[in-house]
Amino acid sequence: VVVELSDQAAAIQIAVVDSLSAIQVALREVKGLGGRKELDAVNQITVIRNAGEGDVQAAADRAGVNLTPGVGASLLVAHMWQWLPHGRDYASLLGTPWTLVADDDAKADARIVEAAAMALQAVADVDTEPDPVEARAVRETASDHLLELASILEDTGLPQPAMGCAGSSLNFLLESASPRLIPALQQGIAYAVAAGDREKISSFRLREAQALELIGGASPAELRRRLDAFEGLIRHLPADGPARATTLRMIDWALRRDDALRGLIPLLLAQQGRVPDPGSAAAWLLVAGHRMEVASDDDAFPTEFMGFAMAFEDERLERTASTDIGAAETSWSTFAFTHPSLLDTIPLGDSILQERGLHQLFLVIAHEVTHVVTMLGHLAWGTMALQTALLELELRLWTFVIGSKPALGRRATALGVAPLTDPNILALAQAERALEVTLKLRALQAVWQPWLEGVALFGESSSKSTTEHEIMTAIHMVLANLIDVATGDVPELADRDALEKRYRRYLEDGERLHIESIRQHGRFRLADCIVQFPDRYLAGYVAVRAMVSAWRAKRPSIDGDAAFRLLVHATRHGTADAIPDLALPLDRFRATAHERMLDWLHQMGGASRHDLDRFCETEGASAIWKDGRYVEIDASVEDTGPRIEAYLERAQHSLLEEDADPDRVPTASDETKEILRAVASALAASERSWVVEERVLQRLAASVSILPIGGSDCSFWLSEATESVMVLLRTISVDAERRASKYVLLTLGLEADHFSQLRNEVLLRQESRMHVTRVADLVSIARPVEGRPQGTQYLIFHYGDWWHIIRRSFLGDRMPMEDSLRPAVIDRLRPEGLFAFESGLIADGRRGAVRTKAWIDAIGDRWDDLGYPIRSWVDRVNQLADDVLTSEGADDRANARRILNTVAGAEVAQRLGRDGLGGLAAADVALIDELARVLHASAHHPTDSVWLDEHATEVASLIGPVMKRTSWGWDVRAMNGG
Amino acid sequence: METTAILSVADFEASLAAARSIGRTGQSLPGLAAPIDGALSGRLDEAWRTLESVLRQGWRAGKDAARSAIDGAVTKIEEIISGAGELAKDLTEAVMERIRTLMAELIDRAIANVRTTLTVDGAPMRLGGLQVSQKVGLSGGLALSAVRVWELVTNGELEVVATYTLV
Repeated sequence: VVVELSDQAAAIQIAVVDSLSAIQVALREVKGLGGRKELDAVNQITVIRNAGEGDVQAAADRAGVNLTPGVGASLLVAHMWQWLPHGRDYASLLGTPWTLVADDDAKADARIVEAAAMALQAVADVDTEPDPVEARAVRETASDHLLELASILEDTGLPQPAMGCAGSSLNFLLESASPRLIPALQQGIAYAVAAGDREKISSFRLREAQALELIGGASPAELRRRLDAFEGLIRHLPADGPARATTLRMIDWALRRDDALRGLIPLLLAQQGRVPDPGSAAAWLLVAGHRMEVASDDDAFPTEFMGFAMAFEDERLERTASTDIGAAETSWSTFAFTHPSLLDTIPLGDSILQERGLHQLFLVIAHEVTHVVTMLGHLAWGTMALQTALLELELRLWTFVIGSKPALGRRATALGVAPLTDPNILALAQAERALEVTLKLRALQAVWQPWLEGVALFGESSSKSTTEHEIMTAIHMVLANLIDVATGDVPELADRDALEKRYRRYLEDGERLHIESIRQHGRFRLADCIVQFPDRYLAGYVAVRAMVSAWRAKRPSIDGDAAFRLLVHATRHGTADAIPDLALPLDRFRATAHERMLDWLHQMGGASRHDLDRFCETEGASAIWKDGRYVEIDASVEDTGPRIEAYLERAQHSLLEEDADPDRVPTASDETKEILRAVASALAASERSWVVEERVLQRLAASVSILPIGGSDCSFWLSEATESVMVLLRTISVDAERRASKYVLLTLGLEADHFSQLRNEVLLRQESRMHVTRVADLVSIARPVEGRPQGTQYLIFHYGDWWHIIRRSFLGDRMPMEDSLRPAVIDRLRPEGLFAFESGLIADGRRGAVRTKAWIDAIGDRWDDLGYPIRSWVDRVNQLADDVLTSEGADDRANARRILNTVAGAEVAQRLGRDGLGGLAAADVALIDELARVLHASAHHPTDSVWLDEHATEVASLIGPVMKRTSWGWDVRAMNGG
Repeated sequence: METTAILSVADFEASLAAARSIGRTGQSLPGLAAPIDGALSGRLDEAWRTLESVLRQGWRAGKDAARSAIDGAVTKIEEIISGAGELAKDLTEAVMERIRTLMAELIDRAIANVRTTLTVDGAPMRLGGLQVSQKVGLSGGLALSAVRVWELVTNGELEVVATYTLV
């Protein structure tokens, strides 16, 4: 219901009363509430306070009673009885925040009482506000505190009162289009799910759909959210009763006002050919397929229904697919990649072979998988540690808003960054640390980006022939396993040798496809990347090639395949010393990151013949690269857990104690520097325990080995008769022949219990779609794990707490599933998991920077009111925020030059670093393609080139001495003076 | 009166730049991003550079330029296109779009160079109409279009009939 302005004052009063009731319900869970001993204590405290003796804490001290959770709860409830007559004085109850006396058993109760006290205080602030309709911020604070209380209640295993508090919190968000409504509703839905309250969920879903409709928005993502919300309402429409009528009215209301939603109807109707009023709710409901359950005993859908369902999917995707994704991208945050052709598409069977532009798609997937695989070593661990430290700092910043750290749970993703308001010296220090950590993350990524791009680009052009599958790289394995072969397609099952041969052929088929992609398109993609995006690709590619040439100078038999495996291995297992101490102050961190990366290039380029031989013989098993030497180790040395703990400890020490350089604030006075030192020590002393524990981070690191490849929210239907679920998958985004999407209706027969669990989840949660993801298993790239072959792929079906995993790839329908897979998959994909925190809360530090900047600006001169000479420090923090918001890519060119200078010398750095291959174009644009041809051909092995024989001098004069004729043919000039 | 519309070096370079930008968004890539159509755009650029290279030679050589150069370039472009497999049709269209853009730019710029006023025996005259008398094609297949643009470039001028009226 949209509350009219004139009714809002009354609505606020209702909200106040409702929240009192919700808080009271929450307090009932506290042990000792209303007990004789507790009530005696309450009486003593009240008598002292009535005599005017200060706040509750002081009165309890004076009375000599322990302020236990039971006493605190009794005090609050007793006072709540007095709310109506005394409500406006309620704020005086708390005085200073309480510190409850609680033994281990009562700690949870203490958290509830403290949060309840804060929530009551906030509600009292609304009640005492002269014009609560206008005072939106006061109402929102009350809403926040109720949600925080709800979060603690859920944490304590009390979802029912949590749901009540979340529901009450909504009442304070009068503006139905408030963006705060959606996260609050989602929190409420989560508690209602935990409480198993279907009716409440229906009510929250209805309100969610309404809020999304009112918030509106024309972007594809916004349209998809509200379309899916309304689809959910339709699919879960109650059979009868007032709830049905209310839902129908809501749908009708939305269709009348929302052109985008209404626009989807005509196509559906054309399929049905029988709807009189396209705009009506009835039209939607005629879309019979949107019933959640299949009525027929037969699990086969009528043909016309499938036609409709696919047409609807097409239209939904057409209207709601992101239009701004023109590139494939690997994320430093999630260590996963996105590709426009795999958004909303799940490869199945051999569907990928029918994709339009298959060979181009294969190359891009290979490029992105290379990024992921190459990062999964020290670069990923360092990055994760910094990200985790950033998350921790953001949670700490919330203490300045709600008085305590929010629990690391569902609430944290809904929170967003802490909305700081008041000047506070400790908050300033934490905000500065968060910005420094953000900029260190950026610096580390910027330093290594050219190299990672160079390796990935080299991988696109290096393979020439099929290799033995024992040493196939993870990248090849992921590509080969994109194609599924089922038992029925393999007649050789009984013959072990024949089966082995068949498997080998399967892998070779995949690799052949990759090599054909390289043959067809590799040279053109190489040219496109280094010519069009020189700052991004050229320096890294030249560095990779110069290093490979240096290796070939010592071991000429290193072909493109071997070089690629070596590059990936060295980056993953050889960069430990190239990651700076993560606690270093920002400026030193930046300089050290550059310096060490360049040192690493030198060292790896100088790898000895002996070490190269050993790598090629052992293929990197149980070995790392240290100081450019190949060192065999106990494999556990590179285990993620201890490594990541060490990184995290240092990342968390940013700007603490000796790692806080007071000279970082250039114009700081001695007194200011003293304050900086004192704050750094004080924070260090207060940060002995962390919300984000190492074990959480280790789980995160373990789950990274699951690589999502394609995913989609899919329509699905349950068949009671057959205890199966039918899921409509888009398996081809654009079919090469028909230039249209292709769908498969996949039927999963389930065990009775498993089916029943899904049905219950569906009835409870009332979401419209099931999320399906295809993932590749990369766990064995570090050390082989029994039962989890490298690159093997799985389909993950996920609805609420229901998960179903089926193995795909070669004979997936016949192979067992290893037990460790499931928890890793769930950690990786669950929407409230750690990766969601990163994207929801941290978002690359950008949201925090925007917040901090706005906070500093809003306070303005009031910083001086704190009475400390910190203006120069405030300015520095503001500058850091600016740097975060403006530094994206700013240093790319300088970084590229440094790398070129290291691997190819000053002349090449100067020419290529400034103009890319523009020097060639100035003489004759065709020279670019001739050079790209030689670069591509020589990636696998040095090559002959009549053209370069004739033009070598000219080319060198235009772009510097990049190429060199070796005894085996033309190649990029080797680094280290080669 | 019949006259010629002359193309300057700047006109030629600007026209090439305009054509070269077709099919390019100029968009930078975020993070660890890769272009998804690099194979197509890489082929497009190579095909274009092949043509641009002979057009530049033709511009320099003028009417003495050997026709075999453009024929050779067309053959090479057709090879690049045929190697693109299922992307060949898209690639042909993209190359044609650049050629059309180049031709249109050259004509527009040449015409813009025709004097808009004249003084004859002290009498000022203003350009009243203009007709291109030379055959310039903006349609046809790739080979024909490439040859036509090459002819225009090697001529370095466009024959036009300009009509001036007394002011």
